[in-house]
Amino acid sequence: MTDATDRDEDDVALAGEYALRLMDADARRAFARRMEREPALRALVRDWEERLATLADEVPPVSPVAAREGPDRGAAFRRRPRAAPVGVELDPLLGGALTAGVLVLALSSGPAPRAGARLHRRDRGRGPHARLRRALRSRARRARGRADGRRARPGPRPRAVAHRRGRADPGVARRAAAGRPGRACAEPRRWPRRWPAVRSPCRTNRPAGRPRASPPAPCSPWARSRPADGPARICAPG
Amino acid sequence: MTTPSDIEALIARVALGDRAAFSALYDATSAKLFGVCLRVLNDRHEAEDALQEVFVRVWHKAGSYAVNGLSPMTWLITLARNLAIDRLRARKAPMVTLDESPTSRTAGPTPEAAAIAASDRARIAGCLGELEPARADAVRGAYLDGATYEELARRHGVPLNTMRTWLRRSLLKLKDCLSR
Repeated sequence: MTDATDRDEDDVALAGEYALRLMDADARRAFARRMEREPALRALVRDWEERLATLADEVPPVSPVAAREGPDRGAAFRRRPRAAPVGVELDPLLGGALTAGVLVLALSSGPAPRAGARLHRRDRGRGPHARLRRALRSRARRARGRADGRRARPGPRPRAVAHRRGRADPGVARRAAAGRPGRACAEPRRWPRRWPAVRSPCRTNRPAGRPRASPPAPCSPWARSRPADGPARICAPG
Repeated sequence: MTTPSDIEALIARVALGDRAAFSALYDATSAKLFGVCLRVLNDRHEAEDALQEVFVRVWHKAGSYAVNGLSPMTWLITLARNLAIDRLRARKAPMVTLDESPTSRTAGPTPEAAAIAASDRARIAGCLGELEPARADAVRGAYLDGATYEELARRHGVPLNTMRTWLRRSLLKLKDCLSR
């Protein structure tokens, strides 16, 4: 009886320590493993987290810079991602200038250039805006291909690429099914005013077993990255 | 005004990839979460980075929210606090005095939610009040500042093992009080 009570008290205190993040890394990992096996322990931690979260009421809300500055969100959200092993993102200003340039060209010279037409066979009859958008995306893809030397020519839509890769390499499909980060990352389909790209733990394309040579690729939560039936980890432009 | 069920609904929509819901969730919760990150990190730029990471995690993990059993704000606050503490411990820099004043606040909770929150707050405050002031302060420091045992022992000028004993006993007393 006393042993059981002591053990309960131990668990209560340990769960509190876990919720407070007082354990060192090893103890934390060991406790997390125990929690996987013991739902009661997990419930104890959840209870502590709920109780202790009310202490956060002592912390006044503070608007981040981005929110204070309104639609033009602050530097933290404008910051470009770090190294981009998979893709080169189009700077919003550069993208705007490019759009304007292509638009002027299209209006002044009539039909879209042959290369554009060749690249966008799917766009037949959908109007200049769709072609322009696809042209920009295509250019970005080609720029990415040049940048990392892996995707030098325009291919099918990235989502299809990711899907096909998933079929070719069962490991990818398995990882995606397990809810782990996917492989391909790319710039968002459009540049939102409020949330430029943010870093995420998307992984890079690399041969299995090869050590990661660079930090995770950037992609944006604004990228159209998940199917309607649940969260997906494969980031790709829409 | 945003109720917990509103936030829960937003998280559910975020899990389906709804960007508008994500934006609304950011607007509703970023100030609170930024406050939590700032309290732990004492550095605005780092707190901004941490906040950004929090929302990336929210985007990716919204689908798993439903199974963790936490209330939506507890989930978000725990996520923000844990990420901020990870950053704090990664940098191992000395603490500086927080000299930040709240700049603006988002729309507050509904009166009902505020009443519930106030009741919970009063309860834990009451239970912390039953502890010796230094021990209650240690619990607060561990949660709000993300302080380690070593930092708390230094702060209170007691040996490390004494601090471990303080916190362990304080947690048991708190649990007992909160269960009454």
